[in-house]
Amino acid sequence: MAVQTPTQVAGKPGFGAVVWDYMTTTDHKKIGTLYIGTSVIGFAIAGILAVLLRLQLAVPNNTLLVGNAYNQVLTTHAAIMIFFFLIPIGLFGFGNWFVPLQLGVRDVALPRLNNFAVWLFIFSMILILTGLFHGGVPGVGWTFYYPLSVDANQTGVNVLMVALILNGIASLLGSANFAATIVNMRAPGMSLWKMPIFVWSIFSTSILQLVSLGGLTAAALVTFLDLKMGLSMFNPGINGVPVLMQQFFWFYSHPAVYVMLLPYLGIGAEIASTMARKPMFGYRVMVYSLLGITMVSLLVWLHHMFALGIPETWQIAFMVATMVVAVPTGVKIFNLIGTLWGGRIIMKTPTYWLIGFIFNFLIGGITGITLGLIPFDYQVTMSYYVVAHFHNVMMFGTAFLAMGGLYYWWPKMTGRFMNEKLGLWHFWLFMIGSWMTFMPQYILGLLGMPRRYYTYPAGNFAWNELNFISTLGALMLLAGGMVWWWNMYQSWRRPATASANPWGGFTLEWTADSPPKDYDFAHDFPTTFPTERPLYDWEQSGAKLIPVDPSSIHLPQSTVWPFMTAIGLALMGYGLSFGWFSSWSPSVAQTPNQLASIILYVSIPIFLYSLFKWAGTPEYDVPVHHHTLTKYSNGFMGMAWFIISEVSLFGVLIGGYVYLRVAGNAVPPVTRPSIWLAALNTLILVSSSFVIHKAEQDLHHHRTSRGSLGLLLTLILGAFFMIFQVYEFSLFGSESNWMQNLWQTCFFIIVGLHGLHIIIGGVGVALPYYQYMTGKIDKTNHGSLVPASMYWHLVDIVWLFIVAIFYAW
Amino acid sequence: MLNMLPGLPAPPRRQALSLAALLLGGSSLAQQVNQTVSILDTSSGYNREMNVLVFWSLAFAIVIFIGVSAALFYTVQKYREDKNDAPPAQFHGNNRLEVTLVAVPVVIVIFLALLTVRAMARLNPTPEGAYPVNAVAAQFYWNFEYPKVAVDKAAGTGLVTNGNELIVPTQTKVAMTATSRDVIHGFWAPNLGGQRDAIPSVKKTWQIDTDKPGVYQGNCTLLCGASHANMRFKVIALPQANYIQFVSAAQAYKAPTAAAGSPAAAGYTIFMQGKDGSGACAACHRVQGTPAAGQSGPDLSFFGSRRTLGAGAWEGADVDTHLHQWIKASSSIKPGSVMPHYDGSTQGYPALSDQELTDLEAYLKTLQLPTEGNYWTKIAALVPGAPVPVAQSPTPSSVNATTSASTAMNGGN
Repeated sequence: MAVQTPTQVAGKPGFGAVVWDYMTTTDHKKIGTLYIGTSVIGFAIAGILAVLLRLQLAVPNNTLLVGNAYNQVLTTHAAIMIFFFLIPIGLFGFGNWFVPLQLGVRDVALPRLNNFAVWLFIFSMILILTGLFHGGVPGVGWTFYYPLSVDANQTGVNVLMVALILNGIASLLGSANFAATIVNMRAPGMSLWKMPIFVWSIFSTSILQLVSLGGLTAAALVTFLDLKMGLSMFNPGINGVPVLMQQFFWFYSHPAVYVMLLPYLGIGAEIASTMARKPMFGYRVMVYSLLGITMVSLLVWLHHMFALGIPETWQIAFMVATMVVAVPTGVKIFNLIGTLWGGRIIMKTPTYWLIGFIFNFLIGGITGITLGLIPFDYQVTMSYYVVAHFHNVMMFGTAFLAMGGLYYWWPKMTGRFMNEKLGLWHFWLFMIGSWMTFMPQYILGLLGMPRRYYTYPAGNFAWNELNFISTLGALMLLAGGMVWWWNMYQSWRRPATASANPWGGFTLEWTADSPPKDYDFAHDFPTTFPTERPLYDWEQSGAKLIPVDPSSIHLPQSTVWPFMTAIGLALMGYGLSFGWFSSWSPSVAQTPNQLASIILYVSIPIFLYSLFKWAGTPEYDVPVHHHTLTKYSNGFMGMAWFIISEVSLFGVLIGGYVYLRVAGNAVPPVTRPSIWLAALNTLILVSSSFVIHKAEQDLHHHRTSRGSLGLLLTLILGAFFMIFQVYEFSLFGSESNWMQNLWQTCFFIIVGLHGLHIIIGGVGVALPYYQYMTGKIDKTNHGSLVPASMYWHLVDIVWLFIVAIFYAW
Repeated sequence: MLNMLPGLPAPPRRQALSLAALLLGGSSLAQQVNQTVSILDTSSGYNREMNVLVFWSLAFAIVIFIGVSAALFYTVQKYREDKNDAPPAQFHGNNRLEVTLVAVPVVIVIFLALLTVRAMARLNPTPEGAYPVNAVAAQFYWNFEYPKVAVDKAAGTGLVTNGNELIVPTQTKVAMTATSRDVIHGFWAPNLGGQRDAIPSVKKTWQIDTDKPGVYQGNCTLLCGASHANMRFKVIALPQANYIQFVSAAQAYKAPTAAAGSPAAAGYTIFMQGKDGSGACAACHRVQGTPAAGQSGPDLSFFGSRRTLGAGAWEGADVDTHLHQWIKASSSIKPGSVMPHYDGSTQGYPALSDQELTDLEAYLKTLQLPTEGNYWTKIAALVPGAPVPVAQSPTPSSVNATTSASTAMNGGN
């Protein structure tokens, strides 16, 4: 791991002890370190893959990586760069490290969930690579367009789908956790409008993730079911619509671009303000820009698909939204410059990354606008112009601020400085390397070179030269990456000497030690927050930090069960990818594997056992009273945010189904599940909602035995529901071939997904039942009753929609 | 996963690189290089209209880029610590400036949006009377059908169709309709207009055009599998009079009958009936004027006249050197090619001897349009600098030459 904080144990802990510590930790800083470390490794892997791609394209008709091998490298490069570097390092790496520190609190709202999320994230990256041992990783592009994703010659698509879904779950839990933390746990006196801009950026990014990620999950889920069971909403052979997959996919994957932007804009603003020793220029406007980008970015996804020839009105509407996004984004750029204006700018490495970002992102933004000009987009979409554009905004745009953030917060995270000279070498190699790599690609796009080509003929004007220059640039980037790793390594070997506030920053993280102690702060804060720069304001007003005895601080206790639960889920993912039921895919590489099937069956008890052990382990080893800013508990708040993502997932799938139905593609077969059974099930579910509500009230008023009975009754009702549904599914599945009727596939996918949610919700309800039965609940430990009950209500409400659109309609 | 093959990359051929030339799609460079692919080729009406957008966006882009980067570097130079001792001014913003910095981009964006809508209104509707051509995509080739050009009754049935070489009239709006037989592909001929995706079970129509006779490069633009990069096509734009000659010849074309006892006649038999009753080429390929009417492979009606092989993977002299191995085991030289192997490695398909393969080649080379319909010779005569590949040799290449032919395509997966 490249980034590590020393543990506070006296003496140097052994390797095993450190690993155990990271497996069991609930410390947001260590979890942040895991995210950052994994991302840095992801960046290295994906970066080396990118160099391989460039080497293949260095000269025409090259034979280094041919055909599908090239496509596999390309897919892995993109998937890892996006899902295991650029999204996690900013949002979850720096987010976990600095949201609590900047808010002046000692942990996130749900620290153990945080541990679960980070390990699930790490395992999902490993899961993608397991494709290597099962015929190969996918060569379908990270976009896995249908029907290429179910092409007989493709391998590893199953596991990519599963890994994306698991990574999505981890990502949603992390996002909900941030949102809950920000709403519930700020230093007393810090209002939302006095939060540091970085926290705002994480808040808006989290909301964006929660709203949009359902699109990716839906696309991956349906593709997975198509491969595994022939259940498809996209298969044109049964009137499905392949483009629907792209709609699902881009509904998330365009907002994902902003998930890869907003945290870095926050970091950039922090760097600018600190390094220029000035307040942010237009703090409020910047916050509104963040929120504006969050909102509008949900309405631009169609611009990835202009060349599909979707009706013009739609194209124009999305073109306008696309261009509108440029306005708040431009505001951010202007305000960053405005923040620097009039300051005394400390010219250290983070500042260089910031300036490099502004300059490069300016070009990326401008070319982004040109891509909104639809007739021009028809020409250059899917060409190297687009490749250059998105690398311009991501690689030498936002990734520059990932680097900037790393250099900026490195002293805080490790207590050490990186070498300035090496830092500047790293910066300039990346700057010049990026320009050399990607600027020729803009021209290549104008000269008609399509993207994702593993070879090109020799005779096209300027293609050879431009490709060769681009490859040289990639090698320069590789050199820069090596300088960076060396810089981190040599810095890590030195003693920790950094002061608490080496840059003279203005936000609360700079009051903690470098590196911070486990408990973050050995002090409380004044409760006046005149602006978003408390340290400056307090210096002016003379307000002082209030020392706290560290021994009076209680932190959540370490536990290995979230980690084990994540292992269980990852093994389940492995088994689902390669084993279990027969595969409908014609590909030999995707026939079920015996060992994987066994692992699947083993994984279920591991998962459930660990989950219950987790639920049975109290968060704190001593009774601690939780203080939240709202009247709602952290469990409630986390679940409330998480529910947004479930609504979005069902919303996307149901939206797709309604479209297929209205367009006349999905026609119900003559014999379809009858309404009376659904009506009975509705009765069961609705009454279970009342039962669990009553149980919750009973338990709240310490009528434990009645309340527990209520939970049990809820579980029994859920079981009856499932029995009826399984009966109905078996009947409907035997009445007609589910691979032949689009309505039927939609029914099985969406109603089946709801059934899965009943099971998840049932397990969720079983947890507090178990907690009550084993006496784990007392005045200070509320267990997981509130979120479980909320989730159960959600599942019931979704059912009502399902009855309406699948049984009544 | 990585399929690394030995073989050092050859050094790139050095060519004159001029920035001004990059921005022009002119033919003045045609002597130096084989061809210039460019979206800025102004001989297309589409590109001319698009260039209005390019001009305005470029104008704004330059102003904004210079303005903002100048502001950035001025700020940094003026206020960097070593140049500025003044205490940093603690101001929190400037509302008037903020409003301006929002308003100006809004105005620019509205202006560009209006221009875009205007351009779309002109470019997107396919004009009545546009000349229709269907592009049917599949892994990894194109079939171009002419829906208005039915084959003469005396010659055969169906529509005039050509594989991987698209012949269009100049000075004419061509209404392309794209669809796919398997995964999603994308049609792109940059010198003639924009891209469209070719989607299974969906038909999308759009227009392309060019004023200038010539040979243009086309590519598949949507990742479609192992040989996505080898799914190219040529667009041959002929002046209308010459185009009509081609079409008339193609309509009347009836595949020539080989003299009895000749190698081509033996090849014909294998093509139609396969060997020992299996593996007939005709099951997948169509040859106009013969019983061969297969639809799942590229149309071979004019194969002998074509100058590209494997959807543009090889052209000119390379066609001859690769044809033998291509028929024998296509995916050994073009990754992922779905044509069965004829060396015994595909179940249900016979192993053909080298002699039988040569007979097949001989037959395929007889499938030639009459001289008045040969679009390559016409375009070569009309546009001296055009990147016209050399014609196939009239006789099959020797077996030895093909097996030793070094090729960039070697390897596969």
